[in-house]
Amino acid sequence: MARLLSLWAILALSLAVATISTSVMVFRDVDLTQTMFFSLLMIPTAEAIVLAGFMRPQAGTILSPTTLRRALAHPLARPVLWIDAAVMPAGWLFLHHPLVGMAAAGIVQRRWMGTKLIVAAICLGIAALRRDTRLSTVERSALLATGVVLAAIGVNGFHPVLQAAARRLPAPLLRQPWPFVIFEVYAVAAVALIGLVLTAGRLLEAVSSPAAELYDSAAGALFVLALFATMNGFLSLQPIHPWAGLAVTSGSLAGTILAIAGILLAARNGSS
Amino acid sequence: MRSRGRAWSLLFATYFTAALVTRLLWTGHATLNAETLTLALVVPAVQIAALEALNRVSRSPWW
Repeated sequence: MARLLSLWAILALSLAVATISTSVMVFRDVDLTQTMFFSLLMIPTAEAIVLAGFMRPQAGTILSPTTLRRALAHPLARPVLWIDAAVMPAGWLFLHHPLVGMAAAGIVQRRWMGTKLIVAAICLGIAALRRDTRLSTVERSALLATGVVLAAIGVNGFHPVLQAAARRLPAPLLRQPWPFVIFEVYAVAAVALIGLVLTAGRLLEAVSSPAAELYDSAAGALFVLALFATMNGFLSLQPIHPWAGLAVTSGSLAGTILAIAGILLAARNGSS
Repeated sequence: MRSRGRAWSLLFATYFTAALVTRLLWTGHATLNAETLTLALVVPAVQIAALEALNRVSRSPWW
């Protein structure tokens, strides 16, 4: 997943530079519409998936069947999946409902996603602090930091922090249009979050291989969340259809994966 | 390991298709004007140059 995301980053950066500089130098005009913004996010995504699949077909495997079976078979994972099976389709059926609707980023959807992230954070904290975990102090601290960030998103404390951070940026950066400021702050936060989750996944290899693999997949779901949340954030601070719904769905999916990984971590007996 | 030439052709094709589909979905029409064609030639070329440059300095290259 780390390689796919780095491929995306190179493609996205070169696409943005090439598009903007060609438009300025050749056509003396830069398209700053929603279409262009959507293109800058989604075209590299399509390119990265196609290229990665072509160059390394095995890179397309998101989760091994063994890990998937192990995750689904765990008795504590089932209640999470049952609630998901009820809550997520309800959100798309009653799209604009203020409580469950995906388009409205309904409170039930956000709270359920938050609950899963808090479960994941607690389990990650327990794994980091367990004595039988063969990790150095720095590695334990990295896992705890990931847990703290996941918990912050879970209790809905991330959004106000990012908003406050955006308002406190240095004056030259605040001269940009506000949607761009929000976009940049969210992009930095997304890169940090995905980086932390990928690092946690790599560290968990020594603790539980299935949990590590699940963390790697969760980074993919968080990346999709970041794409849609950025698209929504660029347009408005209010939920915008379909971006808010897609962001909540991918965030909830990431929450499920991380919660199940946490359950597998907490339930292990000494060694993986 | 797969052919680089094919990978780059695929990148050109993906960029062109994705750009047209995005425009079609968003505006309802996709015109092949000078700007679209210029960008379809320049952007994937810059992306290939970036990938090639990074591949040379990378410790674990893609191909």
